[in-house]
Amino acid sequence: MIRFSEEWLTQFSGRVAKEVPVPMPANLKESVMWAVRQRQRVSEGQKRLYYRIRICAAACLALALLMGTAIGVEGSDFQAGKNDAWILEVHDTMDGFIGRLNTGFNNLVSEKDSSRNGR
Amino acid sequence: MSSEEYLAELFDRYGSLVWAICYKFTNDYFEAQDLTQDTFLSAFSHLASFDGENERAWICRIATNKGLDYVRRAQRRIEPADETSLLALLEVGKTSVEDEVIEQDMRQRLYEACCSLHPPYDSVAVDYFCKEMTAAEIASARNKKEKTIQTQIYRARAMLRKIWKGA
Repeated sequence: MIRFSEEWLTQFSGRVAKEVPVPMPANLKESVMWAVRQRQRVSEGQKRLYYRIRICAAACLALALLMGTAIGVEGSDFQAGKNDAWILEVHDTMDGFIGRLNTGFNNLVSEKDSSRNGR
Repeated sequence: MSSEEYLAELFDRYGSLVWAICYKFTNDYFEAQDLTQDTFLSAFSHLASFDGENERAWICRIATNKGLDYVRRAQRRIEPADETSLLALLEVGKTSVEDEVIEQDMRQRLYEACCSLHPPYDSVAVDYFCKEMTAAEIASARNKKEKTIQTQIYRARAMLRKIWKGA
């Protein structure tokens, strides 16, 4: 790696400027400035692209979160369904119990009636 | 002042100096133009990190490094470049009395190369490379869009480069 001191560079540039036989083209400045503007445009385009990518990524993340939450809600609904089933089962059991109780009472009443009639 | 305006000012002050350094390294009209452009593009992208002190040395350093890179790339195709041979390139000789002849010869060769292109590139190349008109001036003289002229210049340059290297 060659390193140049500032003094050397200043001297070198001074000598070179006198030596080079072909003068700089007059339109070189315009060409350079045009290239600079093109580069700026490209870098602005890249910035815009990165911005769009970030927006898309954020939108996707938000969508994923939304979907996740929706699945969570569905999951809780499923749990609720399960609970409902349990309640139904309990209801069935209760109905059965009351039914059996009724049948028992009915039998008791009919037995009492028959014994009263037999007297 | 915007960075673009600052670069334009920098070019006004050191453009011909950078051109001289680039021409010294390349010894080629078109390569020197490319290297000058590269130097200012590099300066533009590193403006934020520039401390503002001794801008002449700063821009000369960029141009010299670009020139050395160019020589390394060119020599790599032939033989490995060592630092001594690179430094030998930086030796500045005396101003030759033949400089004027060299310039005239170069201009004649350039004109002939421009005329050898097919239309519309020949006239655009003559206007741009020989008469040194800007793309905007050529566009307004021909009543065409500047972008069209820029594209024609770009293509003409590519064709001229081939002719220049072949000569």
